Amino acid sequence: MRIFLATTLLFALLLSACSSEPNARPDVLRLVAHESFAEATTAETFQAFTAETGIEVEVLAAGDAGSMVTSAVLTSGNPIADVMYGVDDTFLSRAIDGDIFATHTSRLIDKVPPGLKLAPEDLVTPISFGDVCLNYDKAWFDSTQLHIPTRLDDLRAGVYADALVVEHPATSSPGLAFMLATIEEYGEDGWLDYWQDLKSAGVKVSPDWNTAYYNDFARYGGDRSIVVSYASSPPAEVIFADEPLEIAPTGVIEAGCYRQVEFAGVLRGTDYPEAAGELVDYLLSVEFQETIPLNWFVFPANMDASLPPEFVEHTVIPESPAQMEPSRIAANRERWIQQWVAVMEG
Amino acid sequence: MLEIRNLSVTLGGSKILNDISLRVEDGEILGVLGPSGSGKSTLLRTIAGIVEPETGLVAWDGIDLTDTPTHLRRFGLMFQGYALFPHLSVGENVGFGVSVAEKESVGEALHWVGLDGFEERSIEDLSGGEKQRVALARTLAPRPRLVMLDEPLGALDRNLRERLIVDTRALLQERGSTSIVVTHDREEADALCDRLALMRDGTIIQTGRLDELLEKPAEAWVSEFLG
Amino acid sequence: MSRIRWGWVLVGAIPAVFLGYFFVYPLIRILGLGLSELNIGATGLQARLIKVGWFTLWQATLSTVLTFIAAAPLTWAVGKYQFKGRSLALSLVTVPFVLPTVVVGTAFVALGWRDSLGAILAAHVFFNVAVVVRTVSTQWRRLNPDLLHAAETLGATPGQVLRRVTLPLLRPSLAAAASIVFLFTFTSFGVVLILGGFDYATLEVEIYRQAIVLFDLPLAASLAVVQLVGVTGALYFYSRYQERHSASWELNPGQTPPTPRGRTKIGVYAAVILTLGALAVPIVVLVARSMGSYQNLFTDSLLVGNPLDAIRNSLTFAVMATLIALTMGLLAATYVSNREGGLSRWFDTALMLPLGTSAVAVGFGFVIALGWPVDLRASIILVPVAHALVAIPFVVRIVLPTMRSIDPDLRSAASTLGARPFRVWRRIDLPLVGRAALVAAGFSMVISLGEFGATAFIARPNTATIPTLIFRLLSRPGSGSFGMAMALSVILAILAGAIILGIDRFRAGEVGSF
Repeated sequence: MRIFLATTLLFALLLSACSSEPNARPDVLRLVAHESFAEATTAETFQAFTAETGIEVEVLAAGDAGSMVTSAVLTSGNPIADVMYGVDDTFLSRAIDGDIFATHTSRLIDKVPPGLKLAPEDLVTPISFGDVCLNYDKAWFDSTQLHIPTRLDDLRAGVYADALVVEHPATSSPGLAFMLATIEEYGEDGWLDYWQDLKSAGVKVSPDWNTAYYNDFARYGGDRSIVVSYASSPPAEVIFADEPLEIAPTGVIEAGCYRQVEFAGVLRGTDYPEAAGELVDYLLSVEFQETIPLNWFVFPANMDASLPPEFVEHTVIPESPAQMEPSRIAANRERWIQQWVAVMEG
Repeated sequence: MLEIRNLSVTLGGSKILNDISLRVEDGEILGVLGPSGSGKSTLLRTIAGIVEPETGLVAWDGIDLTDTPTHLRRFGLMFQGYALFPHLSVGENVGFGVSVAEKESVGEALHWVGLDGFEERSIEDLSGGEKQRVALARTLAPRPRLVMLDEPLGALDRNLRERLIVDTRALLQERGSTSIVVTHDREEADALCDRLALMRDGTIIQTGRLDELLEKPAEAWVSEFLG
Repeated sequence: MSRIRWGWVLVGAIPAVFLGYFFVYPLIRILGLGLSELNIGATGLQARLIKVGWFTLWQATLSTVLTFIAAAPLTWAVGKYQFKGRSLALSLVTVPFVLPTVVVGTAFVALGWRDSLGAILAAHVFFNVAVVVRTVSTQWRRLNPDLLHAAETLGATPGQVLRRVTLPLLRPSLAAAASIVFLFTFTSFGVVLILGGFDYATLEVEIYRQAIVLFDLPLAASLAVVQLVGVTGALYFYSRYQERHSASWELNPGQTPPTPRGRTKIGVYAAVILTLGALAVPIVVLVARSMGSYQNLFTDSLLVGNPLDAIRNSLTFAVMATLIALTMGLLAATYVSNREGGLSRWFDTALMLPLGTSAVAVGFGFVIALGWPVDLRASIILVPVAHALVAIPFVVRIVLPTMRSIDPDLRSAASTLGARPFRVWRRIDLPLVGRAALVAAGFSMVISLGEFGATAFIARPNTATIPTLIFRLLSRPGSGSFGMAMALSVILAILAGAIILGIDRFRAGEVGSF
């Protein structure tokens, strides 16, 4: 019986897979995104798009951003979806070199500040950005009477470095971003010395953001009062607090921030390039952009979109965060990580 | 009529049956008699199609069944350890080989072996003699064209054996079943069977009625064994 | 003269085709792609392979040994004796098995165990005690107690009975449990990542780093091959060993295991309480941290994905995965236990491979290989299929010792009574392995419920399961999020415990008669 059940299922899939006509307007578009985007989508996320175009959107989750790009490169030209969302600047070069995108220029591209346009506009469209920043536990700074660091150099001092936890750049996206920020700050000649100083002064390395934030950070009972997190973490602390909070229990240090930009693009090989382009444009529309902060805790790329009050009140958007050419990241990432590992684990 | 021609079987590298030829006439009860390890059980298993012969053939009424799978041969086999299904009741065991339409034959078969009303009993609750009779009933219930019994009374005590020998013979004769009975016991063979085949080391040494074998033994071993 | 038995070909072919299409073919495609660009002479490559490979091997061996030591008392208690609370103890011991790695990591870190080999080993023991206890005690219960009584009448002390009779008879399940625990720890990913700091990397961790972070597919592929070779070697050894030592002994003819008395009783309860108590420590931490968050879970308007939907999705996938795994696993075990020779042995080994294969490799294999003949790459079916791939080895390992212990005469008897091979399987094999099959079903469901790592690589419609919702909660800041993640983890643990308990109950009523 079970065999028949399984076979029946497979045949049902087979039939449903064969029923769509090429080049017609699709009933459903597929959007592949990294896990953290996909997990936060609901029936409402694309309701407006469906109402406008009559096209449903099916969201596919494909692991983290790195896994998603790797599998897209492996299936270049024969994509599993029509649109991809969530390639960040650290993986952008790999995606573009892998020739996974079809050309499409968003009609809203002029609404995006030039600082976010790190790649050819006709291939990928910036949708959101997030700043990886050092966060601090306000209670600790209150009790120790220490002043809040204003420069990366301040952290070389034992009292701060010993209170700092960072994520490993090889397994964590904010960890990589913070490492890139130090490279931007100190250059190829100086950044490893900086890390050597942090190491000597007692910095702690965690494998991923969850562990660093929920286990090592003093806010959650850990022994570290400064953590590499996001500029959006303090407002999230307010929004997701157990008990309602007036002010955020954590704050953002403006020095050493790194801006991650997330892009969307039409995947080369889609049967519906035109409709896929419309979906990319929808992602950049004010309507969608204003839902971004509270769902994904990043900032909208469209300058016309307004921010929810918590994001205005409890955080700052750093004035001049570090940023790096995607091609430079791609060319040097492996070497940098190996050098970093040699210093930190040697 | 069962016919076996030049049957040889090798298992795990050693020759168990060596060039065996036999005939069993319709309605005849053939006893296969020999010391343990002589290949008697393997012979039954080969006839049943459980063991695959290396060479030779097994035929019924002139039709070669060597490549016919066990379940299509309609040869019944009562196993030495009975091989009763522990998870099924007595009635379910006996009815296993019987089609749904012929379910009344379960009661009938149990009646033959004197176990009326045992249908719901669990196999574990049976005594040794009752197990033997359930196994016999299960073998006979589907009315196989050949009945094979492997040491049918082997493990039972003497009193029970004597009674069951009589019962079993009566049952086989009454039903006119063509049968093969394997045993290592001369008296049992003599009492149950029309004709005997003597086996040693995988070969048939001699066939005939007991008195014939005693009168004209093919070799000294025969009279020694039957001694 | 030898005739081909088409029925057997079919029995073997169905699971073989399933495994071939969903496992071997994707794996060959991805490894071929990676290895075609491999430069063997690259600097430091061999040294890196040896270093990582060696650590992977010895920590897995040590973890397996420690797991057996930790599991021994409870296995003895629930395997040998019948006592009040036995099935509850069996269910509870299975709970750690489903907890997401990240949650257990959090609990261990909260206990202060971190950045050390000790933490890795402790977590491995925590996760795998259930494998040993359940696999071995199931077979222990099926031993014919008369064999042990016979040894006693021959003057053997209890220790001698254990060493000279019980343990040798339990070898198939001991080997099965050892091979599963070894494979789990050999391919350990999350535990090592979170608790090991960076002095320790297993092959699986290194494959992830190379493939995802550094995009060095050739190196990742060669690491995956090293892992596969190690796993295959270990498995081949185990399956040979198992075959050589598996005898057809009589099934337990229905005797109830003894109820412990006096000092034995104290020992049995001490084993139960101490083992469960030790396993409970990390769980107690979780429960403590989850307090006060349960209400939020169902009222929080910002929580994307309704927990009830996630629970329903998880259960649906678990049922589908279990059906697939049982079908394929039972067919495969039937084939392996009935057929002899090299082909059967290799098949037996191959069935275990999904357990020991890099999830990264299989995940990428799926996206490049399963576009043909039908594009399944984004199909929802891949989720239960991936779960089933992990569960099939369990089904086979749990069911095979029992199948091999079935007197082959029972099958022959059924054939002589005119039963076709399928009917023999359905009426004889299936009911006799029913108990073991239910245990296997329980394991399959629990595996599917807790599975997160492998499915993270499968592109799939966004259907939240409990582990993905936990992950989602853990990836946003806020005390509420953290509490809800812990609360949902506790719910997952309770759900798994309830399923196992239900199956243990059901099995006692349904097929407990032999």
